[in-house]
Amino acid sequence: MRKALEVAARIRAGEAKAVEVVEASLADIGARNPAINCFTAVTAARALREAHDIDRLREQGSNLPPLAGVPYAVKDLFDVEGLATLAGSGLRKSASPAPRDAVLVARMREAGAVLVGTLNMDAYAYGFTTENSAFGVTRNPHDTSRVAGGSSGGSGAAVAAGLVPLALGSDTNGSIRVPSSLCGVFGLKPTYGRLTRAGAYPFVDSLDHVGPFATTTADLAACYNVLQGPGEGDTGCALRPREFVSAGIADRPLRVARLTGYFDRYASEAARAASLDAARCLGARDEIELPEAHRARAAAFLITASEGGERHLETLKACYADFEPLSRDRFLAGALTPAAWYVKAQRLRRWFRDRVAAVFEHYDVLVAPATPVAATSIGEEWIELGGERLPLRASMGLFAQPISFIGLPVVAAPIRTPGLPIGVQLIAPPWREDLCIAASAHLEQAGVAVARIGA
Amino acid sequence: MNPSDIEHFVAAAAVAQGLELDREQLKRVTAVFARNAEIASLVLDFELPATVEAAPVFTP
Repeated sequence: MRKALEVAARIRAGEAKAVEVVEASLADIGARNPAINCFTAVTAARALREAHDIDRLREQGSNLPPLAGVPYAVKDLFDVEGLATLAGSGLRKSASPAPRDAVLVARMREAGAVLVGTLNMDAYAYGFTTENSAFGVTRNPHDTSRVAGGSSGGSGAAVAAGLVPLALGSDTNGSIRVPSSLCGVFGLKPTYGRLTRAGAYPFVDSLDHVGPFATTTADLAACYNVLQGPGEGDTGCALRPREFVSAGIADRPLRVARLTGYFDRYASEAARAASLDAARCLGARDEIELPEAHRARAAAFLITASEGGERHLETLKACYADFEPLSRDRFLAGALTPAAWYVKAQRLRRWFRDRVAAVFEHYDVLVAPATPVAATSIGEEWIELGGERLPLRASMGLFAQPISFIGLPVVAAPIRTPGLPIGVQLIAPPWREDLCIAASAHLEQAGVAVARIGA
Repeated sequence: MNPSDIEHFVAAAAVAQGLELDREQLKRVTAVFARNAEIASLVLDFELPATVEAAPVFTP
């Protein structure tokens, strides 16, 4: 079960019943999830109820919604009615069940998609590896000795394993793009403020985004389209109309540049080769540097540490011993960030936004690696990049952080490679998701980008 | 900041936040904070025009 729109078309044509599709998905999850550990809960009863509703609609001759009968799952920070929203934390096992679905879960239901479960993540979304002390590590479906990336690692792994054709995740510093890259699937981090975060457990209000994972650009676009809508319940959501995208290639040649400098300095050979392949296929005419990208990454790091630390300070005071050991000291150190550091980082954000906006006067899409390396081994602590020895769990987002720092829309596209999967970022100006989707469609049609579904 | 300054800062800031850190916790948090300070220097050392305002906008 690999392509969402194909599943929906078969159900619409009466070639399959939604209940059959969902039963197959649930059986697949039961059989294969133990080896990957991407699900934290399977919502079988709800899924079968929703699937029956779709089959009933069809029997009544009603028009079916666009994702009718398509199984999907959500990162375990989206509220699901009746379940405790765990946000990757063992401390939240005793939280009250959510009284209603997150807005995006409700929109998926309106679009006919069928929720089959919730997905593992780094605790409170602070990490890039989904090594979770309370819920276990999520393993990469292409090599189970390696990480799936994070923090939406369960989302990337579930789609890459073929357990669901669609998943939702969140991205503060790269948490959709990193697992997309490491698992070899497509991911979309929309413009900051495009999709409402209402009912999604927050991490860093200044930087949190939500978005979909899929195995094709067309599925990614279809899912993104149904997720758009009013931003009630999220003060960070922009007041913009729905701007639907299609997965066709652009009607004019895209003006493309490849990002070098910082993005080459820390890239492995595989990551650099992926960005070169994508840029060549898209007819990139220039190689350019983003001004002070390393400082942008540093500022995103500080904002994350400070806001994230403040959010969890009271829990850390009360429950330090039970807090995720892989991140509790990072949260604590973040809570001690001097205010002047935080404000300077926010001012740099404004400055960097203006510099990059000037770059987009000349280009439609910028290409950069999504991660510095492919999936690393579980438990690895350090990585050598650009001749520097760096902490791995914080460094997987080196290339993603400067981009989400200023809220740009990005498709992470998996590039065809002989080794482990690795992806590129296709970066567009604010509110131009259509351009990164068009670039992704172009790469896919040329056979340069292809999702890898394995294990 | 030298390592000793950082440890003093972390200890004092923890008290100000109402955090009780034991010796081992203080050591670990200080190590993380030292790395954060190193990253922060990339931001703090960069001169910005006074007209550049902070990004968040409060909406009354």
